Formats: sequence, structure tokens, C-alpha cells
Amino acid sequence: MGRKKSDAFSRFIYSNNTTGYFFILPWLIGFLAFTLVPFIMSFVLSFTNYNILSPNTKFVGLDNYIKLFTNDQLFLKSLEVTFKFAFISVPLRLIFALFVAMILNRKSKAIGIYRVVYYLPSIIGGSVAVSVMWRNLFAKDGVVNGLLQLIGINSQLNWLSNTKTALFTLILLYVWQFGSSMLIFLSGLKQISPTYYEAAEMDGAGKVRQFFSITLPLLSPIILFNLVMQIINGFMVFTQAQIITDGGPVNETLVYVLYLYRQSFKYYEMGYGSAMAWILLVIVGCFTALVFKSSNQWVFYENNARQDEPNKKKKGKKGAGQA
Amino acid sequence: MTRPLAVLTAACMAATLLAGCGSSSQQETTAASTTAGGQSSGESAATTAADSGSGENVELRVAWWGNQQRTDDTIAVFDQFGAENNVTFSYEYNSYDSYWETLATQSVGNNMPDIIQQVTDQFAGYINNGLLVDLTPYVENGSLDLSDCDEAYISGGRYNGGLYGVSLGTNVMTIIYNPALFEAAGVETPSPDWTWSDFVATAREIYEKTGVQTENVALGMPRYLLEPMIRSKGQSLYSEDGLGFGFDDETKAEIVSVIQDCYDLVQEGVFVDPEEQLLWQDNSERALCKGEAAMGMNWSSVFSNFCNYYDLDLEMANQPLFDDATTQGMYLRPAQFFSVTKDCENPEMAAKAISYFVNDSSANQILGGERGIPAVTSIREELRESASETDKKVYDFLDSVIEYCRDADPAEPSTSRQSVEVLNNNVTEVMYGQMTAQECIDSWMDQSLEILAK
Repeated sequence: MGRKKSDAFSRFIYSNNTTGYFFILPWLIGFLAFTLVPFIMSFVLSFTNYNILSPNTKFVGLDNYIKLFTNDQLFLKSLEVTFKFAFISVPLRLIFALFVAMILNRKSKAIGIYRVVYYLPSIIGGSVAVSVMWRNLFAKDGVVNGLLQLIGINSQLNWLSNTKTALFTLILLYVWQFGSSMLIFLSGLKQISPTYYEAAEMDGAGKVRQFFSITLPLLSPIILFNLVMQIINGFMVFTQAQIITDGGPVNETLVYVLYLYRQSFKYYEMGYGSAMAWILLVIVGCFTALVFKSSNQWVFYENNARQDEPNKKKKGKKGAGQA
Repeated sequence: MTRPLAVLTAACMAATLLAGCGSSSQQETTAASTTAGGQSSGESAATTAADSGSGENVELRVAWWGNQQRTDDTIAVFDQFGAENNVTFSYEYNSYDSYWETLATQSVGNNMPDIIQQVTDQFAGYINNGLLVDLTPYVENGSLDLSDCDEAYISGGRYNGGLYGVSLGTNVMTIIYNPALFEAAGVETPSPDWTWSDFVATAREIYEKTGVQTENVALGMPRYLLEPMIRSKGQSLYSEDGLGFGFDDETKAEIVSVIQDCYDLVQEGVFVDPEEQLLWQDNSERALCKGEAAMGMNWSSVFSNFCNYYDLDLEMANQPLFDDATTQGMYLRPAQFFSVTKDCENPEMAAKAISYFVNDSSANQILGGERGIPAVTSIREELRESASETDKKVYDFLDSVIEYCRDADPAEPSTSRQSVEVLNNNVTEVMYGQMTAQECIDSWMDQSLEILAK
């Protein structure tokens, strides 16, 4: 009896599944405790008037959501700012990333160094230190105005406190961190077989024609992936806005997550903040869905002969990207 | 898909988990016995009454925000008290923003430190939610000795008839000015009872004669510019129940014209360009501190620093009031308090520790008035003697200003901070020319009524 039991036990212990689960346990615990539980809690809290300091938490139904849309100008302002930010910075970033990736997709001995150099901003760009540096670059007597002076433009502009330029400087910082998209583009470019280009050259196609007829279509699945990831990131921008401009001047850079953070941690209105978080989730979800829906119009899969192939490919790419 | 929730995720986890495990990485426990006892404990009532707690060891947690100097000094003083009274202290200190985030999450887990540092604009929220202990009984039984304090210095800790905080240092909002620039322009320095129109005329005259600007006194802390004016007519910023405003339409019209004046002064170039002023993140960047502006508005507690950045000889003046002022408008405001939280198991010992902190002579030699001008008269006199030249000016100014002050209004609503933020925001929009002064005050009052009702 005991022997049988221990057999069952050792079978359980040595089975592949157990080993697998054991190895992902640290992640699993983290996911459950720090992602899933808060995720569910925030959904519940978004229907309450939960304030951290107050012991009297009541369910208020849809009040938070109604108030956000009907009676909160800052919320609407922050939506406007975030949309502006995302719609300008995401395409710019992707174009820039693709441009640099094309340049780096050549054979050269120094290419490794270039790749590192261009990737660096993405690693350090989101950090506090770079945000502080950005503040100094765009100060009235900063480097940017100094450079403009050199080429003869006498700029006395306070870039970060001028309502017209403040958001633009943040977008510039964001675009500058194009490294991760660039790397993904680069690996995509490497997968395009040179035979296409050779054939095109034989037929007399120029570089521009090659780019639009070969590179872009074959790269479109990767563009799709990058687009989705960047849309998600773009809507969640926070650090730069908080440190460089703190939402100012006159809320011109009050991005959505910054306002969410203020409501939750400065005014302790967690219920309200939760509702905001869920609205953001829905917005990002909609845009992602829209992009995916439209993708069969513009995304081209090399081996489209078999219907199930594109999905597989997409999944593979996504996994690679996240890793 | 869960990524947009990153921030909120942190919030909820903080609420559920962190609260249970105490807070920051910056915790430090010091056994009381490690510091030598034997310091002269002076005349404080706290130490004489402390025997009641002896026998068993009491543990107390103290939390504050501030720089390294404050941290070292505060720990030294509590260790000293602990050694004499068999109390073991543990300390939690943080930067200002993290301090409040940590404290709020701790409050959810019923795990707040025993003694916490508090400020006026957070105070009411904590009291109204029952998180702080009324210290009145401990004043009555002698554990907390406030007998040597002028009421004006400690009234900021009173709320709804209870005493919820003991002032650790007193502050007053002042106009700080640069006498050298006044002299260069041949303009008279402010008299103690000057009015807002005097202020505007002075700023204008200096600018016209020498081109020297004045800092925009409405930008940044408009509440503290307007509140003394409102009070000077015997009214108050908030109504007594805290659900609305405490001033009438006539006063409101006067406020609007003050904001309008500030906008006009910006247009004329008399006030520093708001685009520039908004970029000052550190006080040392201020035009006033660089000797480039004639006047600015700030707390008396920063005066010494303002003088020292560029070695300027600055002076302080009273805040300008309405031309038709009928009474005093200014008030002393504790720069911060110590409060005892509801999670404290031994509030009596906590009260004694606070009493020692504010009354004991040797303790205050260590602290050196870093938190502001002490509320206890004898300590104030002691520290005044050893103070630096610029610090002495602050002590003298506080003495002289007290006849222009009356007690702070007691009812500061819990959500006042949010309402003040709306005002800040609106005033900034006015200065940027995106809103009229009338709209600014109207929309502030409209929005606030809703905020205050919460």
C-alpha cells in the first residue's frame, strides 16, 4: 500500500507537467499575486467610492464612470493629450525605427557597435536620469537653444513651459527610444531573402520600388506587431510627463496615466482611479482590435497558401518579440 | 492586456499585501540601551511623569520625511528619550511623496507608525477618518506639556475642539524682498500695514525705475496670497462646516481683481514671465534668490536658505491685505506636527515622547530649530541666542508679526488640497491668458463645492 502510494507520488513528482509547473512557479506566484488579483480587485473597486484613508467604502454603481465623462474636464483634457501623444509619437517612432534598421541592415564590421549605440536610448531613455537631462537640454539657456543660436536663430523659447512646445519635447524623447522596435525590424529585414532583391534588380526596379514592393509587404507582419506594442506603450506613457513637466504647463502634458496616478495616490481616490484604469484598458483594447481587424487588408504573409499559417507565424513573432 | 493597469496594480497590492508587512526599506531599529543615558533631562514634565511606564519595555514607531540632517537629529533625540524611559524606538523615514503613499497604505492595514509627522493640508483628511488620536487628555494629565507655548503657535494643531498635532516648528507666509533693489530704485521698503494696492504700486514703481521684476505672487501658492486677504475682512476661506466658502460676494469680487492685477502685471512685464517661473524646480533657481527680483512670496522657514544661495541680504515683510481690511489676516502655521495615530497601543508614552521632543533643552540643542521656529517659548529664546544672523531675522520677524496675526481658521476640510489644486491650475491658466480672472474664481468655486461635499 505504502509502496504504491510512493510510486504514485514519485510518478507525480517526476512527471513532465509537475516539473514544468515547478519551474514556472516563481512567475506564476508573481502573476497571481501581483497581476491577476489586483486586476480583479481594481475592477471591483472601480464601482466603489474607495478612498484609501476612509473606512467607509460603498458601492456606487457606475457613478465613477459617469462622472469621468460628464463632469471631469481634466479627464477629457488628459484623454486629448494622450491621444495627441500616441497618434504623433507612435508613427514617428516606427518610421524612425524602420529607417535606422534599414541603415543598420548592411554588412559592415562596425555594425555591432552601431546597433548597441542605437539601442542604448531605449534602455536608459525611460529612466529618471534621462528625464532630468531632457529638462536641462530644453531649458531657456539649455543646449537646444544654444544650438539654435549657433545656426543663427535667436531662440529664447522655454520649450518645457510653453504650451505649444511642451508636448512636442516629450514626443521627441519618446521617439528617441526607438531601439526595441528597431531590433525587431532588423531581424525582420534579415529574414527577407536576398533573391527577391536580386530578381527585382534584374527586372530593373530601383531602390525605392524595391522598398515599397518587396521590403514593406514582407515586413508587414512585423510592422503589425510593432504597431500594436507601440500603441499600448504610447497610451501608457508616464515617467517623462511626470518628471520633465509634471503635467504642465496648464495641463498641456497631463497624460492619462499621470492623471490616474494623481487621483489614486495624491487624492487617495482609488475607486475613481480604478475606473480610469479600466477605461484606458478598453481604449487600448479597441485600438488593438482595430489594428488586428484591419490587418488582413494590409498584412501580407509569405506563405498565404495555407489558411492556418499566418496565425502560427503571428504567434511566433509575438513570442519572440516579448522575449 | 494587463499592462495599462501597472499603476493600479501597485495600488491594490499595496493595499492588500504591503500594508501587512510594514513599510519601507528604510526601517531602522535602535535599541534604546545602545545610547548612553545620563543626559540632563532638564525641566520637562514629560520625564518627571515618565515613571508610570517603567518596568516593561515599550516599543514605538516614529515616521517622518526630511533630509539626512533631520533624520540623524530626530533619531538622536528619540534614542535619548528611549534610554531614559525604557522605550525602544524604530524609525521610518522617507521623501515627502513616498512618505504619504506609504502612510496611506499603512492606514489601510491598521499598521501606521505610532508617532507620525503631519502637515496642515493632509491633517483634516486623517482626522476626519478617525486615524489620529485626540491629545487633549494627555495635556490634561500632564504627559504632554504645552504650558510654555503661546496659543498662536499651537492653534494649528487644533481641530473640531480636539488637539491632534503638536507643532514642531512655526511658519508664516511672508513677502520676502531685496532691500538693495528697493534702494537702487529709490522706493520705500514695505510698511507692516501695507495693502495689496501698495504692493502693486511698489512692484510697478521698481520695474519702471530700474527694470527689476517681481516674482508672480499668485502663481504657485495663490491660496496663501488670498487667504490673509479674505481673513482681513473677518471672513474665512472655508465656511465653518467645511462644505463651502466662508466669504461673501463682495470679497469674491476683490479676489477676482487681485488675480486680474497679477495678470496685468505679467502683461506689463512687472511680474516674471510665467513660462519662466513655472520652470523653477529648486528654490535656488528663483529670481529672488539670484538677486534678480525685488519681491517674492514664501514661507519664513525658507528665508535663511533664500539668503544663503547667493549670499543676499534679504528682508521679510507682512503680506499685503485688502485696502478695506478690518482685522488681522495673517496667521502662524505649523510647518509640521507630530501626531499620534489610532494604531498606537501606548498613546500616553507617545505623548510623553513628543513632549520631550518639543520641551527638552538638550533635545532641542540637537534639533537646532531645523523644523522651524519652536513653539515653546523658553526653547525659542535658547535657540535664538545661538542662531545665525539670517535665522535671527526670522525669530525677530515672528515676534513682530504676531500682532498682525490671528488664530488660524479651524475648519480645514479633508478635501481642501484638491480644491486648492483647482485654484492653482486656474490661476496658471489665467497667467497664460487662457482664462479670465472672473472665470478662474467662478470655476474654482463651482468645482470646489462638489469636491468639498465629498
